[in-house]
Amino acid sequence: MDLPELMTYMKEASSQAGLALAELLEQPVSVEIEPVYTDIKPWQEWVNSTIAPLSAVVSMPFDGSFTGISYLLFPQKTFHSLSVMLGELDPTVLDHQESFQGAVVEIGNVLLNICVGTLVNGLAGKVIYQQPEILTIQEHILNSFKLSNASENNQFLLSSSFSINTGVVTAYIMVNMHNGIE
Amino acid sequence: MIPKILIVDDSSFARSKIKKSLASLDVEILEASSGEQAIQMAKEFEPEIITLDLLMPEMTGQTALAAIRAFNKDVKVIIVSADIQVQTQAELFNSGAVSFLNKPVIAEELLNAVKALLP
Repeated sequence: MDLPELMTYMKEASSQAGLALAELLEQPVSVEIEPVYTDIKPWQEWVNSTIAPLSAVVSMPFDGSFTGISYLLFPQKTFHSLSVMLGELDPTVLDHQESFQGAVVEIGNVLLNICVGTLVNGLAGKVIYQQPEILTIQEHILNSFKLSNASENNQFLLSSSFSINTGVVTAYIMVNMHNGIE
Repeated sequence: MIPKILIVDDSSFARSKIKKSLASLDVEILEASSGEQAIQMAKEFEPEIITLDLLMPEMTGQTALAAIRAFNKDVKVIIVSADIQVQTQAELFNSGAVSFLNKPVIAEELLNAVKALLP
């Protein structure tokens, strides 16, 4: 897997994920591809300067032809608007915190599957997904990046950003994948 | 007798979306939030159609499908999953699924798929 090839699939993956997000939230969504990194440190710096602080992160690890972890990140500044949007779609989502988090996890499940699935289909591979998980405590979020992104050779950190209803809500998808070949 | 449709998904948000899509049909909707519950309800209520998610905790949809197929060869199973991998879809059709719809569910697509399978 090389960078130009991955970028082509990431564009397609992000576009498909954007369409899915628009369908899920019944709102217009615009998508942008963000810088690609091959090392964790500059990537973390970019996250800290561009997206942090975060309110929630849905993570979904995968393994198979490629190994890695995908994230859906929600910045703090627009997270409240997401709860309003979801509540308008399905008022039961706001009944208690678990229901709201469950809806966010499902959005993560759909988007991350589509994103990683498009990449993997393009690379003619097959992966098995683990259950998506949501983290909502800042310290846990940061630790998950540290633990999950141990330096690997031949790894790529791909990102794209989503602006929902012209920026009322923003979200970021990040995929850290490698094929284990050194 | 009103046909029964069993919706299987660990996410209540996803089940609610599917239920909304099928609201116009004269069917009885049943819900299961896990693979184990799906097997139990498939035995007890003998639904005509099952919509089945794949990625669920403890038991995957694929495992539940195999278990249900072992005692009911007639039930029509529609996979409703976010997993868009070509190989996954091929495996599911080989395991006896009759249709594969990707999440997020497009109401009209699901409705048409279910209508085509109703007795």
